[in-house]
Amino acid sequence: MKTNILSSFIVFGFMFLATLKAQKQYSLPTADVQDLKGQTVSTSTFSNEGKPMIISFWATWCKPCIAELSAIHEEYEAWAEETGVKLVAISVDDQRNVAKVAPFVNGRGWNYEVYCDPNGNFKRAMSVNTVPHTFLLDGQGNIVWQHNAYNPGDEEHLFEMIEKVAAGKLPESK
Amino acid sequence: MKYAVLLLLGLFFFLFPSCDIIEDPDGPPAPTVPFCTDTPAFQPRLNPEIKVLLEDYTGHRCGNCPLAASKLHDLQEEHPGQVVGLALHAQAAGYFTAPKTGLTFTHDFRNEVSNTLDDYFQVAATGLPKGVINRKRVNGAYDLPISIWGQILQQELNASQTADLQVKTIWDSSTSSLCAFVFVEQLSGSLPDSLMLSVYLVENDFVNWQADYSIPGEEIEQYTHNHILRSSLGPIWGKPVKLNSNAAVVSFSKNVSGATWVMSNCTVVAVLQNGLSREVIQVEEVAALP
Amino acid sequence: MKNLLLILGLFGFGSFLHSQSATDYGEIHGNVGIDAQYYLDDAAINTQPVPDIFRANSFLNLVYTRGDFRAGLRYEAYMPKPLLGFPVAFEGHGIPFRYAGYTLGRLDITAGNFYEQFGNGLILRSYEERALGFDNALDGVRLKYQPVDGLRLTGFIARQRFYWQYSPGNIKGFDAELTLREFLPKADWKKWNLIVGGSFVSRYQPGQEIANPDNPANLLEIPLNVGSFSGRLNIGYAGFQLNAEYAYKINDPNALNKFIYKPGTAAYLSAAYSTKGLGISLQAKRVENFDFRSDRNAQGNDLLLNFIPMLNKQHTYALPASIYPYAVQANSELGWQADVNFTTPKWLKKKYATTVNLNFSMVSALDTTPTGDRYGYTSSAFDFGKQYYMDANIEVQQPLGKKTKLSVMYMYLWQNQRLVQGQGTTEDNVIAAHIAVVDATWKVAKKHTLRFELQHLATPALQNPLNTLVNGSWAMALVEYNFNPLFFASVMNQWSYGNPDEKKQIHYPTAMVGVTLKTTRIAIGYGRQREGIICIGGVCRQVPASNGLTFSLMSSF
Repeated sequence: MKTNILSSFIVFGFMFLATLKAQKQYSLPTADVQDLKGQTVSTSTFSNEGKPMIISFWATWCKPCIAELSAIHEEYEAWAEETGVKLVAISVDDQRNVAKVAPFVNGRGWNYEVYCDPNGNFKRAMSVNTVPHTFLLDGQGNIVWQHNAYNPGDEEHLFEMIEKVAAGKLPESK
Repeated sequence: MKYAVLLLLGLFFFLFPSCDIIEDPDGPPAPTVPFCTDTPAFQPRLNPEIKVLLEDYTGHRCGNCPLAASKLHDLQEEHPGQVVGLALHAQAAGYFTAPKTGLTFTHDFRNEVSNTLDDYFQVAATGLPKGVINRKRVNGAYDLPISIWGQILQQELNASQTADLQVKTIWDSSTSSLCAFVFVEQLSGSLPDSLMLSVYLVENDFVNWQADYSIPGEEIEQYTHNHILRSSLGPIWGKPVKLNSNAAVVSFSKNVSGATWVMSNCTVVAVLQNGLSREVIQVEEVAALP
Repeated sequence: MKNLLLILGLFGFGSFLHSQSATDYGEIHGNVGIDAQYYLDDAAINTQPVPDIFRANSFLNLVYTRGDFRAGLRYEAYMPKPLLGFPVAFEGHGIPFRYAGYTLGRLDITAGNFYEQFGNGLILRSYEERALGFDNALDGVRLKYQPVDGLRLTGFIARQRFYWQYSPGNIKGFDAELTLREFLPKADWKKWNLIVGGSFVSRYQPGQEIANPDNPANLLEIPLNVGSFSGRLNIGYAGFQLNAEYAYKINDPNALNKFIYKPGTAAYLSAAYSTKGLGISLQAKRVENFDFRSDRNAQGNDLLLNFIPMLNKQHTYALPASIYPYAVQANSELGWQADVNFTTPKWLKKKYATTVNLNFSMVSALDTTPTGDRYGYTSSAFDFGKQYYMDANIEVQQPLGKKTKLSVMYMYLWQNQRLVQGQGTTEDNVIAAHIAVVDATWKVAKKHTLRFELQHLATPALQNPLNTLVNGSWAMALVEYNFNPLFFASVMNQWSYGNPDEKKQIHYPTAMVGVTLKTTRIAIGYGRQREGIICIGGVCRQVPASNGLTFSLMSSF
């Protein structure tokens, strides 16, 4: 038993070290999601014509997610005008709440491109542990930055990253 | 690509014979054999003793439950012949009593009698192990932690005895049927208007898996389970008792064919209760096979 | 130990790939998590003494992709024992999940483990909910094929994960879905959208000897193959959306329906309308004898094959979510829900718009009549039987300025504890509670925010509570400080001040601090955890009371 504990600690320690030096960027994995009409859409069709794109995982029951998307909503037009950025919101609500996603999004007047991932296909392909989890993609569709959790004010940091990507730079983490 | 279509079509047709609809789930009716009709003679005891029912709500995957079983054993040694134990494995205990489908803990101890009793007393969901003594509330709750079993048991043993029970059984091996006659006798004091008499079938010395936190490894294959409440003879909440000049005989029977219990390890427990409050008045336990 | 070497080898290989050019060798990424707790004894909340006072649940997911090829695995370790409240059967470590897949044009094949959902999940949903220790992954072969645009076919043969083993039953499934807009792209669809689908799932499980409870001299005749079918329809027109599914299951005597032979049915209907600033949805369902698992003897959360969506709001504040949670009763349910969202329109000239959510839901048992034979009972189609649950709530969000946001919620909850907790006492045990929540966020300065939460649950104490520690009124307060985006700290207390037993009026204080470094989050907490039920999605888990030090690490890479 002792050796088991020890070996599992070694494995996880090693894994943790490896995560710190994980690769900087990778391309978007392919998975099937649904649009708000229930039509199946492949994530390989996601694109913003050479401009940066945000992919944000959220859920109708997730308070920080709603706070994040509401905060971005207030700035969204200005951001889009300045950098051409587009936000794709992926709801990880399961079948219990899928029918409520469209009324929820429209009820708040959000202008995002929204998809549902009721069985977590895309969530798993993107290695998302918990929501909110936000990814930033460059014009070529490579994931160049990501962040987990949301606290009020985090959107300012996200916008700094978008500006860098729009200017063709790779955002370095602080 | 053609192969893919063929594969999927093949899979589709493969699925078709996948429904077994059972036309007659009830099966043929059970044969009826005249049995359990000749009432034996009973004589009132010269020195009756009060006996107390201790119901131990337990589970084979409850690691602290062996503590309760040994406490019950100690109390029985302390008060020889006066403590009747029942081990209830109720479904509401969830994980603790659920069987596993692999190699270990596969035996399903749960049964309708334990579940029905627990549905009423609501013990298993409060966490195991818990006991109920004579089905009486203590400070508003039926479920008693092990630490106060001894004290409550002593109170019950000190109460005055109002009724006595005697049990005689008959076993018919050709039909695997068990019959029990229970003699109820009123002693001093008054009995409630509504009296109910239940008879349970209990198995002892059953060796199977048990989680036990008191030992390293925590899981024992050769654990001896005692007092397992298996079934009831007649209705779970019993048959009404009508006393005729302070006494009555009530008969109970059950066909146990198909059951896997070792009858020679079984006992029969008769419980006389207040039909309204369900509080226990007197208990008796005898071997199932005469 | 073999597994360990495999992991190390794979990981070494992965790291090697990292250092290479991504296009040549494919890409590897994944996530990792550790949840650990050090348990302390606490007599006030009846903690049971446990051996192994330090316990940890950990996992590592690796996903490898190269062009059309993909492969992945998950390593899990529950050592030395799973955290309290998780099934003990998880004890140990290994690789319960691994797969390889390939996409060849319109065909996609997966071998090994996979997750799948057909339609709304009424007859098949395989998924993972790690926080609950729930994973009913399938293991076998799956084909997905799109012969023409708009038509999607899925078929599989698999077994289901059962902790470190597999289900005794084999599962076969087939699903077809036709999206008419894609299938007939030249037709003039205007604002219409139509999707139809159908699926079939069957279980084969070897027979066993079960005595007929009505007639113990006979054994039951057990169906080895149990099939279920479903059909669904999704119609959209402009802002309207209608989704309906009906499912049927042939005789499936199982432990949870007490081995009756009645066929099962499930119907789900949802209608929604939304336009900018307003969204309305209505849902209804009827479920009868529809617990479907890959083992007829399984209970609890084990080996579930299907998913019955709950029809009540998914609450996230602690008191409304976890004191009296509702759990799906898959064998008998009739219920509906209405949900309205709106934002005050711009012409009101309010500086900060108000967002409002109104929600009402009600669930009852079916109105049934026992038949006295092995078919169990008959039921009326739309009559409500005993009510399980009712919940009416309103939530209002209002920014009070650039720096302050306020959210308030009121909820009325009614629940028949006896029926929902599934313990069928002879007397009903009804809870009626008023719950209020105030949640305020204050941005103190750039990068510094404070959040406050106050919650109150008012309910009269019961004579016979199911759980004597959860009885009467509760209060809760929380303060959280954030230094963006790096650091957070929170202090919380829950107090069962309304418990009629003074010894059970207990404070449950918890403190937590954590750091978030991009996608790595580390948190350390200390305090008392209330005994109760945690529910996510449709699945619930009972957690025992505990006191101790918790550590959690989550990271994606």
